[in-house]
Amino acid sequence: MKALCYEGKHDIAVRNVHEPKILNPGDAIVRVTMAAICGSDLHLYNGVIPSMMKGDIMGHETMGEVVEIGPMVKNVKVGDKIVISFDIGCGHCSHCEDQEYSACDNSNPNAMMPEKLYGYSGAGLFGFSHMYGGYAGGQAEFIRVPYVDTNALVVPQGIDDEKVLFLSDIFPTGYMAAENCNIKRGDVVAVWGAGPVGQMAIKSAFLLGAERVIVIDHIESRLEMARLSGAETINYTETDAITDELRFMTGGRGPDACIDAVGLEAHGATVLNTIDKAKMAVRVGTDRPDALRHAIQACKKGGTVSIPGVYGGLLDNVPFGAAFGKGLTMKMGQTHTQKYMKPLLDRILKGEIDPSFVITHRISINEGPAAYKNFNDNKDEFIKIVLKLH
Amino acid sequence: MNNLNPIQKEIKPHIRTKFSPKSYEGIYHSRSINKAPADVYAFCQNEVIMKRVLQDLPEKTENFMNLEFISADKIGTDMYQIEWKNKKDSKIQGSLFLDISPDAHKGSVVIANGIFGDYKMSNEEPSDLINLFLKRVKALCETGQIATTTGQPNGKDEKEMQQQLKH
Ligand SMILES: NC(=O)c1ccc[n+]([C@@H]2O[C@H](COP(=O)([O-])OP(=O)(O)OC[C@H]3O[C@@H](n4cnc5c(N)ncnc54)[C@H](O)[C@@H]3O)[C@@H](O)[C@H]2O)c1
Ligand SMILES: [Zn+2]
Ligand SMILES: [Zn+2]
Repeated sequence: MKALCYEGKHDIAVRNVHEPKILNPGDAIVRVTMAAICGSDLHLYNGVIPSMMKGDIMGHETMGEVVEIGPMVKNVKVGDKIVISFDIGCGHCSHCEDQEYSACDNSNPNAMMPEKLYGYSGAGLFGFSHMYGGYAGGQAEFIRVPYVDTNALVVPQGIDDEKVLFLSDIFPTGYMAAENCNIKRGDVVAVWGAGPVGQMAIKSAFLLGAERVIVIDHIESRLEMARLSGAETINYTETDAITDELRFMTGGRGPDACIDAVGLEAHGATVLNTIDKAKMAVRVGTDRPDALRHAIQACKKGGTVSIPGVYGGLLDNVPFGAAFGKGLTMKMGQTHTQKYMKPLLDRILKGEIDPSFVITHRISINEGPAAYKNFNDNKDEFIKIVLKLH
Repeated sequence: MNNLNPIQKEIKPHIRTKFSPKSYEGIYHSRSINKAPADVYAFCQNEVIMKRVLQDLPEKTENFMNLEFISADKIGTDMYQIEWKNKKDSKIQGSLFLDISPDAHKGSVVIANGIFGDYKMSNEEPSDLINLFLKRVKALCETGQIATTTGQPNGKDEKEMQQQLKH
């Protein structure tokens, strides 16, 4: 079968590989119908997430048709159309029982690696480095889904793939980011990053009762998409003081909650971000947390900073004193996707939201390598790319 | 404990029923398991299951993990101890004790305590192996499976497939 494989930094290739087989009794094999490229994949593409290896199959936003199941599988059957969560839960450890699926104790076969780095290991993730389990991803014609009883949502036959694909990651991610803001009616939520995750966070914040959402980015097409969802926007290249601007827009109080949907590769020409860039280039720095710095700085006293953006290592110059001084709450982490898939599918079926609005490009797997380059280098035109596989 | 094995006696008899690091000699790791202590107790003395746990641990484990079942005891309310011991033909002699007790949160806590007479001479570090062993016990006990990626497709398959075509 064909798969998109990591060959090295800025190098993705289409490779012919073996088809996956059942390796454990709770596995299923899925014929992939549609997969997407995520902003998280770009962190891999840019070589800033450690422990990727040449040949690794990319992709964690995947759906398709079940073609084979292991003997322990109960909740899905051959022929079912499923959306696959990007994080892998075992379904039985205490974290999975508490619906903290991305903190699963059992799904990462390489748990010893993050245990050494982070103290404890999170769940395994599809196509997201060996530190997160080294699982083959879904930008391929077939995928093996471990613990499929926990990591699949069966969707109605005949429903348009594009409508439900993003239940695999970005819709639950944006939703959990908004839910973590503890939104009360009338709240103002600021969102850094108008990428697909930011776009889902905007819609979710409104669904959860936010009065206003203010979005910060520098890419006009993405800000325009945010405005179509009802958000107000700030192009950060047109202001030298985002905090001042936000303070002004909120009657001097600051946003009630701030969402960092940018993560460890923030752009921007601030002094600190320039230093971060230099440090990362010579490998003495791990992350560029400039959006996070602004989110902390701008947040109101007693407010919440919610961080769906991915971070990997040791962050420099994060204004922790400001966070402490204002008594902020911070919430973050990989999404517990499985917790949100069913309720968000219901919202889609009720017509409250159609997450496919973010899609700008539909491609074949052969166009995958070029798509990675375009998504990374030309964010203006490329907002969300989906691969049609079968 | 009155049935201390010779190696334990040799190293130092100690109180093994107090589950705090101070009461352990050798190497010790702990993990919570989301199952009742009695279930974990039954699981951890089952030779077939333990074989599966040990099955594909890295090769160097055989010095430490060439185990056979010795004993299983109830040592208090919902508290158990199991001893596994290296077989006579093993390079390193020693025992692995599993202490099982209720977790304050839910389920159980299992402490694996490896007491290996001369492991320092072997130039191997068994601590990671015991930790891995325990992680696998937990995974198998909770889910009936041990997470793996061995045998999954990879971009490197292409070369191999091309070579096969040539032959
Ligand atoms: N927590 C999770 O489980 C989870 C899941 C999916 C994605 N993510 C992460 O969410 C983040 C966003 O993902 P995406 O798919 O939207 O990525 P993306 O790369 O398409 O979007 C990021 C956006 O941030 C903007 N940006 C960059 N620097 C900025 C700055 N200083 N201020 C404001 N905006 C800035 C970019 O212009 C871009 O529009 C990534 O870090 C991704 O890894 C996390
Ligand atoms: Zn993603
Ligand atoms: Zn789990």
